Amino acid sequence: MGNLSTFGTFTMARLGIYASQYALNVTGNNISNINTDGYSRQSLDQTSMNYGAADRYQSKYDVRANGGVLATGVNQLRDQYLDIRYRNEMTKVGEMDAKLDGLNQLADIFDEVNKGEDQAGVLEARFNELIQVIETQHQDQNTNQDDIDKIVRSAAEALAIQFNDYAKQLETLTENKIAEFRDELDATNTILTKIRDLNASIRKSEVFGGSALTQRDERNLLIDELSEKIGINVLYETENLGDGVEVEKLKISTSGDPERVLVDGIYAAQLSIAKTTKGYDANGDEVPPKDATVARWETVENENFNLNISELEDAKGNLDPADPNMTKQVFSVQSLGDDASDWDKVKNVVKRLTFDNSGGTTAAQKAEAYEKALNEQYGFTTSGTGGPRFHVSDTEMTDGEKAAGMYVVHFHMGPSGTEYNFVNIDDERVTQLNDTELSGGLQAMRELLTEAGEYSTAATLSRDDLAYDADAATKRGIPYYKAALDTLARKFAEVMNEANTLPDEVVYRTNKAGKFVDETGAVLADQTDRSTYVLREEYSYYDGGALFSNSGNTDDTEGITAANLSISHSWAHGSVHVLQSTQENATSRANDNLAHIIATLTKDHDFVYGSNTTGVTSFKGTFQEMLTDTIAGTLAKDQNITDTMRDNYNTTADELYVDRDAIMGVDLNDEAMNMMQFQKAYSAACRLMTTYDGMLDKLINGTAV
Amino acid sequence: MSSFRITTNGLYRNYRSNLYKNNAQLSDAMTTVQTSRKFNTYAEDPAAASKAWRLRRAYWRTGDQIDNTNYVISKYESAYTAMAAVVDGDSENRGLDGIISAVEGLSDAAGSARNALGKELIQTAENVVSMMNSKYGEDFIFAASDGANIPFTWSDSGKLLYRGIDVTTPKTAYTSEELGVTKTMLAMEKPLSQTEYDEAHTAGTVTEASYDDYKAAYMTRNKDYESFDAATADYAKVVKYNDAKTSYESEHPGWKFENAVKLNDMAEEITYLDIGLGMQEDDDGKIISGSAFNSAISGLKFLGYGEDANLVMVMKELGEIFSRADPETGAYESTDDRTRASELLDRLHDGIRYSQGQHVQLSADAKYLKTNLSQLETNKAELNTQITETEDLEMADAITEMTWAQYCYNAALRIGTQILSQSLLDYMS
Amino acid sequence: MLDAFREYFDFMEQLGRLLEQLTELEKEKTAAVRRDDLLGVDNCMKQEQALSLTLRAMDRKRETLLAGMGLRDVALSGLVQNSPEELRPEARAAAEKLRSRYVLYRSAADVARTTLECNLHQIERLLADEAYAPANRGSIADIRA
Repeated sequence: MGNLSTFGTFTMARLGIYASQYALNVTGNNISNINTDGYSRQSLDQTSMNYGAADRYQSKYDVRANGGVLATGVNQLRDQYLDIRYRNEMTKVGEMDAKLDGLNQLADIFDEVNKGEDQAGVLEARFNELIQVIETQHQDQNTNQDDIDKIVRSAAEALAIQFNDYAKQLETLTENKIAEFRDELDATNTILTKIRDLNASIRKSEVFGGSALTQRDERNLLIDELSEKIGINVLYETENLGDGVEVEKLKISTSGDPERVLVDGIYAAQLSIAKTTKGYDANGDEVPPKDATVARWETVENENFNLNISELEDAKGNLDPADPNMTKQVFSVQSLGDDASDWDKVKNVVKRLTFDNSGGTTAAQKAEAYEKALNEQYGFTTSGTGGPRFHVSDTEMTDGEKAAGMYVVHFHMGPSGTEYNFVNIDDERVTQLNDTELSGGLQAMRELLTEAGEYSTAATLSRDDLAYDADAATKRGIPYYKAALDTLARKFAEVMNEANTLPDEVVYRTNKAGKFVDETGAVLADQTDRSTYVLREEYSYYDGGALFSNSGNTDDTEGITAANLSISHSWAHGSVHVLQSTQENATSRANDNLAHIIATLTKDHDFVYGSNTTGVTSFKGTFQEMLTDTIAGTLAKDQNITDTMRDNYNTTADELYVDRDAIMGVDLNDEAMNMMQFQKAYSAACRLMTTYDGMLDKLINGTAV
Repeated sequence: MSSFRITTNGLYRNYRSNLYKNNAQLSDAMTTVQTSRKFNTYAEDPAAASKAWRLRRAYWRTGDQIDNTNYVISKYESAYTAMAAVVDGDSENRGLDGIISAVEGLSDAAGSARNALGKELIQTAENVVSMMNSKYGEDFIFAASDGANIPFTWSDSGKLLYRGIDVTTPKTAYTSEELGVTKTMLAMEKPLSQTEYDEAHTAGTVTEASYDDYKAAYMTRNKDYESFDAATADYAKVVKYNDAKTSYESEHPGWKFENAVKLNDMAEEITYLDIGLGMQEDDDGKIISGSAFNSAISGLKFLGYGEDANLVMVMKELGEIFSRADPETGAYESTDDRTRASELLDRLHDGIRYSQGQHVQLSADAKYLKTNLSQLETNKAELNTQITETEDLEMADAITEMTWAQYCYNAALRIGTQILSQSLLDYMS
Repeated sequence: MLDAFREYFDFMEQLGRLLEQLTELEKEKTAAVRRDDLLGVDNCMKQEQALSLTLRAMDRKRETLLAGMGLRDVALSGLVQNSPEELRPEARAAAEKLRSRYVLYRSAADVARTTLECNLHQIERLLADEAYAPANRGSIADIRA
């Protein structure tokens, strides 16, 4: 005990008392926060006080004791590994939740099981009813053509209305989902802002030596919440503030590849739906935005709901000087601008770009190489100096910029400036996330809104020239079901119309040269005016034509969808009838065409993805099979799988939560035990004090002076 | 993954999670029992749901087919009853059998009855026609596919007409389907052969400079045909038609070939009815015969048509000959009458046998339809059972199972609560 | 005396292991109930019964041992205080371990109980409903309107 002073023992006892007291405070705090959401159990950091500095001549026979205990700080008990695992799992739970939610809403529309009168379905039953009225119409022998039409038409109308209703419900669902997506986006942005602000306050606290435990708990909760919406990676870095002061810096990035930074210490980004610039020519027709004929630009939200990450900003709007996202900046042509200030924007934005400066050795060569690459990338001419193009300058830079490989880039307008002066790179620089970079709830909602599964076309897959999701063709969101329903409606109309129509040259009078003629055999002046055609004698009964059209006001059969499928104007107004027979001089009860219509309604058809000319057969079956097997059945299977996956992820997340809580959570029994322990320690330290007091008393008063 | 430390909140989360899962599961179970269905959404059991839709569709369709079969059975029964009055006779008429035996019983010895029999034959002929014009509902039963229009009428000259065509028009072997000519084809000009072209060119009636030019011009004029060769192929049909027409009309002066063909067509008329024979179309969009039932009943076919082949006209002519006979002696008015009567007697005999055969066929058809009906009804019941099996819950089983679950869970609870003795509880507390 | 305590610590370890076994069993039972796996529940019940007999025997042994140590009616929480000075750290460790195992068991048993009670409640409701609901349809109605 050679290295402890006489009264040092008192200090030791005092430190013991302090430490126990602190420990009791921490325990008390833990207990009172048991129901605080996200509260992490705290523990007291204690170290044994060591006078180790002067032990040079320490004898190995010397007995040594340290100088007591020091309470060095209060710590949180968290296991970051479990945090990561838990959040990863919650990303999947969030994704499955959002997906299942959407699928269930789709099933509210398409799942006809246990719906309708006698559980016979809804649209399914309309099909059955239509077949039934045609199958059995001949039994009403007193029916004339008008009566047959009335019966068949009302069944067909009910069917068309049901199609319209489904389409409308899909439309409403889409609108709701878009609104929900925006809300989620807002909520995500709020979380990002809150985390940023907490980071700032934790940083401030750390600079002054505090640990900001409460804010950390709050931040952890927010990160948990964020993880349900977006798959994230969380990284704690150290930030050197100089003078040996180091503070922790939280970095949150998306878990996709490449990682995009959402929060970088006191800077945070905001998410928004990406914008696309569309160009229109003088006639108002859409043309490529860089086309010379563009007369007007319009900026609209991206149909693919790609997300943009804004620049990283702090609470005061200062930009992150080391914004890591911006090296991968994609810049886009946004709007027409021809005033001088736009030049500055071009200059400013492009100046910020770092680029591959490996081309050439001198600054001028590097600039030239970059200029060429830039012009190639944006489709501008790479030779000469005329026309609209980028010009990279190596002479207008600061030394720092040179060192960073930055060049000033101008955009040169063509000789006929007003014709080409369209480029203005947006002030707000953003990083656009492509199809595969996002995961979690937001991504699930995006996919629900955009994925057309097998109906994806090359065009929809590569929207905006961004890398697209290779699995897109197997992901089915609202667009898939809309496309499938449209395919069904269109095929139905097409087949029914065809069954009710004979070729013009069969039913109308023509001469030997195939020209339409009048009753006298004179060639009609206008061969295309169908209203002047004259029926052949043997088809004098003929009054076929399109039964379904794209609007109740016309007989136009172009572009029929589930939403616009209607009884054609002519059928509704009695100038077209259901053809009972297509034979020459058909007799009054000849029903070959009715039989043909039934056969058509119940036979297998080829349903084609996309447009008929380029599509691939998606399904071969009857109309009703397309409805219940392909549309509702696919949905049901998707629901089924998603539900199981959600359950699995949920179970894992629950387990991880419990595991995590085992470390960070407060347990009353535990704390009670601690309380007892610290109380005992306190008593013991007090006792120590008394004992030493006694000892010293002996030493001071008991020994003769 | 098991934890070494379960915290208060960890437990709470587990409770909540369990409760949620249990409630969700049991709420499914509740819906299942309350709706007494095995599945209430497609997603619960996609395979069963898909099967159920197929079964329900078949069930619905079978119902339509039963309706159709019932309808056609009634129609056939009406037809049979209507015919029975003529074929078997009733209180006022002798019926065809009676006529046959009366006619066969006639001998010169009893010639005096000939006159009266003649009147009866005429009367019967008229009865047969009005029977053939009888209706089922609003439709003429024996009008084949033209139910809205009366099939048989008498012409002013006492000829029996079927849709305006004399039923005694001599028969031809052709139907329009066999001939395969259209009006457009018939209106087609005949392509000239090389020799004919040369002659016509020389005569100046053809202006094209070469035979090839002529062929090209011909193709333009007869645009419906794909090539000159095809045109000649089509023209071959026209030629065949014209040959058949010429030979028919020279063989049967005064008769029209078109009408003879039309009679053949009308006798073969079809109205399709789906009675569950798997109605289906071939690749050309034509109903495959045999996959649908032909419900057209043709009076023309029943009575026969062609020269001396129509029962009514045979009876009528014979009746007229008999009527002309001497009322006292029954002697024929002329030898021609005698010869004709002998011819007609044979025809009458054949005709009546034929009509009786048709009558029997009707009843056989009706019987077939009835068998079909009972088959359909069995199918429907079977489908119903299958739907029930696929969709509906066996309640007794469900309840037994639940009662057992209740017992089992109760026992588990009891044992669970008894594991720790009070003294151990006290010790640990 | 020290030996008696050591023996008792051994006994506590055994008791703890038994509780761990029971905990596993409770978890298994809960899982079986959730799956509606009645055979599984039944199987767990049988094992439970067997273990509970062992537990009874151990309980009696505990009473004997405690009596031998003169600690009759002293609860686990009092063990440390009543242990000889030199055995206290050991006693504390043993008591804490046993206690944590006990807590684990109780929580697992609580989960099992809640799950069972919930299921039972629902089943009882269903069976009560069924008593007056003639829900069993022998056949479907003619589905064609």
